[in-house]
Amino acid sequence: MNSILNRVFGKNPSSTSKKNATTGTASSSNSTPPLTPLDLPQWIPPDFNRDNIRLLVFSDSDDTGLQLIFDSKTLRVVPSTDNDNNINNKSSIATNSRTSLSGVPSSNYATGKPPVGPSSNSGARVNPAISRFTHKGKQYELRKFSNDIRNYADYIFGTMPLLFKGTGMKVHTSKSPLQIMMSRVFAVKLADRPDGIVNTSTTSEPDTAPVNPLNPFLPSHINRSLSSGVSAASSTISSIDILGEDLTNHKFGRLYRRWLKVANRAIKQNQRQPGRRHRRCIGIAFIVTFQQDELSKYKHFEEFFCTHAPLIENHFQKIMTAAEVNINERNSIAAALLDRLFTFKDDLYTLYTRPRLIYPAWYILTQEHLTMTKRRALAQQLCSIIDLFSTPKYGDFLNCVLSAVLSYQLSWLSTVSPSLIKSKQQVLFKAKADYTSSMQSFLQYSPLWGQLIDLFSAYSQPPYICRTVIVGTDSSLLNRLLYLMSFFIRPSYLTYKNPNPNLSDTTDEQNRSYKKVRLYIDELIASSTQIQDIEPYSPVHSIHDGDDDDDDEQNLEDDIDILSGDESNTNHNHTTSLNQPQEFYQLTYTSDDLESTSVEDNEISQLLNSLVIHIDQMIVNEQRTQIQSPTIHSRPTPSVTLPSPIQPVVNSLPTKILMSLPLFEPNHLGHESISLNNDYHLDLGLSLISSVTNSYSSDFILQAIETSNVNEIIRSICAQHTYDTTENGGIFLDGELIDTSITILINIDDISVNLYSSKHNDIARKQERTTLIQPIIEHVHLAKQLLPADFVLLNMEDSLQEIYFQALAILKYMKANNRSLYSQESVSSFGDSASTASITSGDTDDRHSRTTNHTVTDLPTQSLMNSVLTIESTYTTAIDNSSELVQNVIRKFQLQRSDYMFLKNILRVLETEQMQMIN
Amino acid sequence: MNASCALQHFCDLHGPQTLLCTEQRAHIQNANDNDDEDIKTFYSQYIKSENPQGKVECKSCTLSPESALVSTIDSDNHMLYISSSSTPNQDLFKNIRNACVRSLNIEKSVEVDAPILFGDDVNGYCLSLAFSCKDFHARGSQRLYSLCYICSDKYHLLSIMKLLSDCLRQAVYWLQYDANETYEQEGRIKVNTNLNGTSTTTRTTYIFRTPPCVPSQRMLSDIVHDSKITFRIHALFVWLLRMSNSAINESLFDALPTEEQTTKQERKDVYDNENLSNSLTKRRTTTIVSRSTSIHVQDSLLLSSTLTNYTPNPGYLSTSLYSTIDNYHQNENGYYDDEDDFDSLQYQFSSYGYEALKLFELFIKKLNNIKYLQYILNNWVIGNRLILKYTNRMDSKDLICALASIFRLFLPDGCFHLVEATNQKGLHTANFILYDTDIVLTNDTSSLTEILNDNNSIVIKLIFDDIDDNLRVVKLETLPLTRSEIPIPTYVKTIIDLFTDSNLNEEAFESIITQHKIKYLNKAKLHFQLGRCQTAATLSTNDRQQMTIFNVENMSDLALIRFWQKGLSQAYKTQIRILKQDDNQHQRIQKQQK
Repeated sequence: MNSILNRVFGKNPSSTSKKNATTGTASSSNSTPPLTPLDLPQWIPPDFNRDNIRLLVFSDSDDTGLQLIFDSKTLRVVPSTDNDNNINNKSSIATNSRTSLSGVPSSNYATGKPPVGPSSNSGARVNPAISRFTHKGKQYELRKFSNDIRNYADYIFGTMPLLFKGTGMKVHTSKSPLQIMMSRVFAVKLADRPDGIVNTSTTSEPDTAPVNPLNPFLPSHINRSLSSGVSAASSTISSIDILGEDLTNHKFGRLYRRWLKVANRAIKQNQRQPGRRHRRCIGIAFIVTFQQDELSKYKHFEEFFCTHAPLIENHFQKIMTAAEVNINERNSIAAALLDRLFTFKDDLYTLYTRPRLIYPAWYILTQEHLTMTKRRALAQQLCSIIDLFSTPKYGDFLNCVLSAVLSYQLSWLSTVSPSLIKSKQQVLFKAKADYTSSMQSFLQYSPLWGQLIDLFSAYSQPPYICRTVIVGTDSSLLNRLLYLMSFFIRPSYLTYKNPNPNLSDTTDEQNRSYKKVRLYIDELIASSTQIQDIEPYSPVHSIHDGDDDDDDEQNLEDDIDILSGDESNTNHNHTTSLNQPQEFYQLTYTSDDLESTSVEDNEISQLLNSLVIHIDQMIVNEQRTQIQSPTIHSRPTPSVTLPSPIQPVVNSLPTKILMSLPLFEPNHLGHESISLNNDYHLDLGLSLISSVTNSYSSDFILQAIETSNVNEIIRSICAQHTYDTTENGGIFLDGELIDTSITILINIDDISVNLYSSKHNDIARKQERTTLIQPIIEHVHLAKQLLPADFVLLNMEDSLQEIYFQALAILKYMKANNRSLYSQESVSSFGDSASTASITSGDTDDRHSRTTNHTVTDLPTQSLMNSVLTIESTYTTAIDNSSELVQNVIRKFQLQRSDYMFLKNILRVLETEQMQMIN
Repeated sequence: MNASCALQHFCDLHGPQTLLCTEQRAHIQNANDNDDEDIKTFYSQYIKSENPQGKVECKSCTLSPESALVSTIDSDNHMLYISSSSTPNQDLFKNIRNACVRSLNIEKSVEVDAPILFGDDVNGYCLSLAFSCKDFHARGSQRLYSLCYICSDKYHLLSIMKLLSDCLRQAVYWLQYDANETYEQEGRIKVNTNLNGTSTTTRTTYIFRTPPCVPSQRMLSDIVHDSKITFRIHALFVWLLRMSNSAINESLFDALPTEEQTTKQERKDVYDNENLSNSLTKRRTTTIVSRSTSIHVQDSLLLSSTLTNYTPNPGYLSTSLYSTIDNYHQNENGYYDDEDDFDSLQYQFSSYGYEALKLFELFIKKLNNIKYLQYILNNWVIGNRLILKYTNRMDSKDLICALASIFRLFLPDGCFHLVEATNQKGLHTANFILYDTDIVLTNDTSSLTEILNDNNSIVIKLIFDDIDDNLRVVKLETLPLTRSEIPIPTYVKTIIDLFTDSNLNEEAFESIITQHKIKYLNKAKLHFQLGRCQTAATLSTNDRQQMTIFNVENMSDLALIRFWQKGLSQAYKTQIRILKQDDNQHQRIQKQQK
């Protein structure tokens, strides 16, 4: 059984097998029904050496030029015997620690002299630039220069730093040496200070770093809070009517956020970087190197890196912050960086190699090719786990667990909202959403991003995020509960359709395929047709461009008028009159998917069309704004659209012909797309659920930790919360500012479920039993006696759906019940006491945004475990203030207070979208 | 902003220049091409921006002599791609320009064919691959180009970086391969060594020419010897963009449609099939109906329904409501393609909403007896027949429809079967009969009277007219037995309770009812499941036991659940049966193994 368990849960055999053996017997003596085994592969941790991570930190400023500040390659631990001998060296550390790169005076560099290699530099030889510092009791030595520094500086900053001093991110990959490098260049926000003030900056942790509203790395949350947020909101409102119920009512959260991303992106584009030059930039890079013979390992890591980039960058951000804070502190920067580097290495290592729960339950159940037997086995397994945890010994434990998880990890919500139409593809009890691929192609969001949102349950706006941690000493129990939880955490899953990119190959033999493709393209070109009757923008109009906004609008309309004037000349007519009988639009029907579009698809296409129409509108709007403000835009690029004075001379404008080319689809030529097996390094849904381990890692949204020292875990959870809500904490969610960070701590040993939130960090709220969840558990009891396990899965889904409908009903009820007071009530019912102040501030958009800010997860209050009296009292008043409506709801829907608390968070997510509709 | 691709060149004279860029935008294809103004405007912007006067007249900075814009439409994914040498989209232009300068001038890659990803939030992110093409006439016999993929989402770009790199390399290889061939041809001269004519074997040797002293500018189309290079690169870029859109697919899962929707769909399918047999040809010829026609159909529907009473055509009267509407369709010779309202347009709660709610409140008021109301609803929800005997003194049938829609709302779709008393056929199966007392029934009325006298039917008499709030009289004709104390189902209590709440609007009302319906339907599902399992069926014969299983309070609830099994869809029932079969088989195998 032990080995079976290992196979099922994909454990790191070295760490847990021993304990497993003991606990396995223990649980069987508890008359635990044995878990039905699933034949799954064992977890094989990837091979990764964290010493292969190299960190480079440069500083570049107008005054001093490019300087190397830190290079982990030249770092060396000084043997303790060495220490005493070189103590007298210490005095020189401070002065030497910041020798200019390659030792050349910076002015040389700035005047454009070719960079001189360090070896040829006399200055460097005379003064062997070695800096030493102590870190955690060890003394380190940082030698200056390794030979490749010059190259790396070029990679990071570019070869023409004087011409273009850009900030931003870069990724370089190379085959020899086998390495991947990610680098960031950013402007120092802290102005160059005199060293005297530096002390304050060292004490300031990353979270207290001053917020620069012009910080280029975090524009998204700024524009959300600033004026552009208003325009975003207004465009959202208009859109929602068009999108109708499909997006906002029925697919709560999920689609909405995906759509919202586009809206926000459109705004993001309009953000302008301030024109000022950065006086000082820091360039930081980390390089992961592999041995030349480790190509497969490298490829694996590269793929992992690409998919997990948001999380990795989140960790990388910490190094950047450390460098920025300490940049003026000559003595401590190396130590600080080294500290961060170690953490970073550990984080990356953990993220990469930590054992995952191979095949979470939800993931398996949604697979297309799931056999009946396999599914039954799974269902039985889930049932037996539920059974195990609902024995009298555990009391309401499972109820509390599910209440907490289902209340905060809301990815399940969209999986129970019924689709409006019959889907082409059904998996047992779910319908695969048909609209995603089309949505993806014109919303152009990253599916991985969508997964992150799902996994962290960052649905509302501003987002809160949620993680679940299970602790205990019995790894077998941990595993089972973990497995059960993985059924309720329901991210989308990804399919990689890697089209074979090999259109040709370097070898002679395959050049035939190249010829073939070329022939194919030639055919296409031959069949291309001209699109006629497109009139160019009249130059008379374009002269007035940018004079007046109204004028431009007029322009647009004029053109439309012109075009609609000769309506007889539609494309249709024209193309038919051409020699070739093909119609322009029909040329594109070459795709082989076409015949599959049947009547049944009407609904989908309708949904899509409404979406498309809307997006189209947005694009048009966007373009209009672009056209409207050519004076701003064209300044840097005067070459194209601004009418030049020569223009009147050029009388005959050669009009370009517009050709329409059919779709080029090399797939027809035997370039079949290869579908890849999903592995954790490609799919965040598989990756961010970790198996049983010994330490806490913030990257995983669901993890089980085998430990007896819970306090330590709590401490790291709280630390993570603090970090999450800082400016950089949400970097992995496209730089969004995270409003609240929540961790559900499930302790199997204590049989307790506690909620920790960044709002009041040290106070845990004990999750209470809810009546809403109870049916889910009861179904399983029924199964034990009467029904096959398969039925139970169905019934469980139905119960979840009931909750969803109940939440909908409550929301509508609350809305109806106090329409005029609704916005206020929503504040008080969902918000905390602090937000009551904002009620008085008038009925503006602004307030609404603030209310959403406050409508949080303010963890409900009663019966705090360690109740600080003052806090509790403020909370009860908050609830009392709000409670009239809440009481109504509770009475009307026959809920318990804990039920309402459970629903509150769901309501909040649902409400975020509703709010916009009310406006 | 959507992703775009660009081909750039480092000109000896002018520095980095953009040769071609391909952008994409969402595009909906309109079935009847009337809506093309939008796209024409879009195109015309490009033609305008192609004015060459702003552009440097330099061969090297031009892609090909043929100045063509190329556009492709991907109708499946609703995308339009267009390639031009410069874009009217100012933001994109700036980003491409920026990417161009950076990729050709500034960024340094570690290896020759290693792409670089660079960018920031303001200028977008770019994956660029710089490469050189052989050209005999160029300085140093080669020219520097770069391919860029630009998009604003860095993590998206990162996640497809590997794929894009491969594709870019392919594209580069194409160009280089062609350029090499041209170079080979230009760079050497064929010499006939067989000058004397002595040797029989004609061997050709090549002499390499010395490169020209003064390098000359050439177009890329000359370098690769392809006059249609614009098209080719456009095709490649479109391929690249489409591939990047579809490289990673997200699979989302929704719940199946609710039983209500499924049963509705199934009912529709049944009628479609019936109809299919006789009107197959007609239907297929007119699959797409323009909006105006469908509105017309709707109008006529309402109109005809008011006329139903006086229509001499017995065909109308003798068919059930559903097929009646189908008849209209055939008469209109159009296909009514609305997906869920094929039968229920008249009785859908959402189409009356507030009006229906108010009417029902009035109904309660006129009934003026809470016991009666309970009695009606109680019988209604557990499946007894309800007969509305109405006298309509108004022109419109709206009111009666609105009232019916309320009753309809209370039951799951599958349980609701409405028949107008003018129709003989469905009377026995129907549980909701609308009986207009003004109609003189010419045909045999025996079944109707039989039904009217049925003990289980509840007859309500209504009089509508224009005076006094439209609903003048509501009278319960079959009075409840005074002695019998049938427990009231919880569901009915909920409904009645809802009407005491004055603040409720129709939306909230509907969603609360829906919630409860879902709840009881789920119980009905469970009931159905138990019925399929022998062990369960024997174990839970006792009503009390069943009540605990379903977590309900009284016998009426149980009756409700039993009746509501009718509201389950065929699809669900089939699924359960299959699952059960599978389970049985499994158990048999297990037994055999033992």
